[in-house]
Amino acid sequence: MLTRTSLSLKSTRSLHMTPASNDFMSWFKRKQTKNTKDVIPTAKDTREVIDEIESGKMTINNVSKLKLKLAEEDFIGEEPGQVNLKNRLHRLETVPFNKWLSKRQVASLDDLDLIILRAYKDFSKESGVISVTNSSISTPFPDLVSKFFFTKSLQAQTGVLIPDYQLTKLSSPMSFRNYFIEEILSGKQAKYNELEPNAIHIDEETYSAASVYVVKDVKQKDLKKKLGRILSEVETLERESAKKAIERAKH
Amino acid sequence: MLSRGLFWKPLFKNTRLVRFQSGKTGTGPLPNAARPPRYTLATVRSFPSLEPLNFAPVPTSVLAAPLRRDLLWRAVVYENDNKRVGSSNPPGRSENGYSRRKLLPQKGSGKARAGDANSPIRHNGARALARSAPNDYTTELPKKVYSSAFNTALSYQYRKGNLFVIGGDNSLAEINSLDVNELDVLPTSLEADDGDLVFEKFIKEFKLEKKKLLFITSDLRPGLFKYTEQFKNEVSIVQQEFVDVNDLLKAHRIFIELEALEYLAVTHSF
Repeated sequence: MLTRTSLSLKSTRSLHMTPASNDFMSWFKRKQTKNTKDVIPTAKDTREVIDEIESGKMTINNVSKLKLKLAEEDFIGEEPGQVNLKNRLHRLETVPFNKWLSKRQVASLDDLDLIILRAYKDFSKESGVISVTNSSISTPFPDLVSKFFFTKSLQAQTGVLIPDYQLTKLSSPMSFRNYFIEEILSGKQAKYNELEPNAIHIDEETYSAASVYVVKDVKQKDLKKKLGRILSEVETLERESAKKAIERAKH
Repeated sequence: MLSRGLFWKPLFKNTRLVRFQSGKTGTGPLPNAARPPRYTLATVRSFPSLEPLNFAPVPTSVLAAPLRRDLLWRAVVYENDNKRVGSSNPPGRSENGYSRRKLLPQKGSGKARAGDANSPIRHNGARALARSAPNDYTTELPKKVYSSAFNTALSYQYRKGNLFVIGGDNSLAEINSLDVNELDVLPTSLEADDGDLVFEKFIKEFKLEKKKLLFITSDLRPGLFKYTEQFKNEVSIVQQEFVDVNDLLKAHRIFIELEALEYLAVTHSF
């Protein structure tokens, strides 16, 4: 008769139970704080430390143990990336460049008239012209050379580049004055957005009725700026509160 | 004093032809009809400061052509068709792997007539009208249409104030020592390799950040290539022979050497 030996396998599950810990990451923090407490008992004066090292009390081994935490407050100085950027910006500011255009754009009609008169006198050598209402201002340029010198002086002083198409069409100093009044001083060019060339700009003055209220356009750039400012403010507040909390926990 | 007046002479002849085209059926132009302008002005500037050096009269057929969107459309489609390269290489019925044996007898099976398994109407059959790579998508366009589209694109950018002409040998004003009269970027001194800073300054001064810039040169400009590396996504440098309508239309600002403008004007005159 065949006998069947049963082989009983006993399996024990090698599990052990520990109480559930929801903040297991705190273990690392505890470890970290414990180590640092051991290593840095109290902050000493730098002179004392130097004296100790020089007298031979403190060995190099002890110094090597003085490891600081990788916390933000333990770092001194600036990041190399930021330093490089600062240097580059400084070099960019100081690199020589022929700035023939005025940095400040003309903003008022009086300034514009002064500039036009100055530019006109430069090429015509007429000293008698004292006002833009003078008839000689409205006469067309005698030749292209005088037109060239007038327009160059006008652009340089007003800080505005006039497109060549307009330069061709406009024939007298007065027509340039009118162009500036329509395009620059009216704010038309400042409102112009290259990405939306056919955009219609509506403001309060467009409508005379009191019942019409025009909601002002908020530019995407301004929206982003405001959001960035709010976020940075929140960040600084959070950082301050975290710092305070750490200070409180230390003492 | 104005630069290269003689050079444009053959082009003026062409504009005259264009001008009187409409009057050909009658006895002549109307007695009181205004004569359309024959040339438009382009300010010749130095680089990188864009300081005006001179005026150059350019024929209206080159820089003041009327806007013809239909021609632009045809030229862009033509260029894009010619740029296409297809790699599709499907097997035809002679290349497909199945046997040439007729699947069913012609009659008597009760089923529809059938050829071999390579037939394009069968599942796993070959591709009808198969082609071999590289596929050819090129189309044709009359040369005159393309040329007038080219001039239309240049004129459009000119009217928008986005075209800047660089160069000029006989200038009315003196060139600043920091500038050059060609589209090239040079370091400020022999010791300092700061051409990239000069170019960045140029971008900043004229508020050209995040703008697509097209530089059309008459020759190789190693300095321009080297120092625009930082802005290679925004800056495209094209030699005069290789400019196309797409380039002109996609650019936010075009900087073109006077020599290159002359070359293009002559090439696209008809």
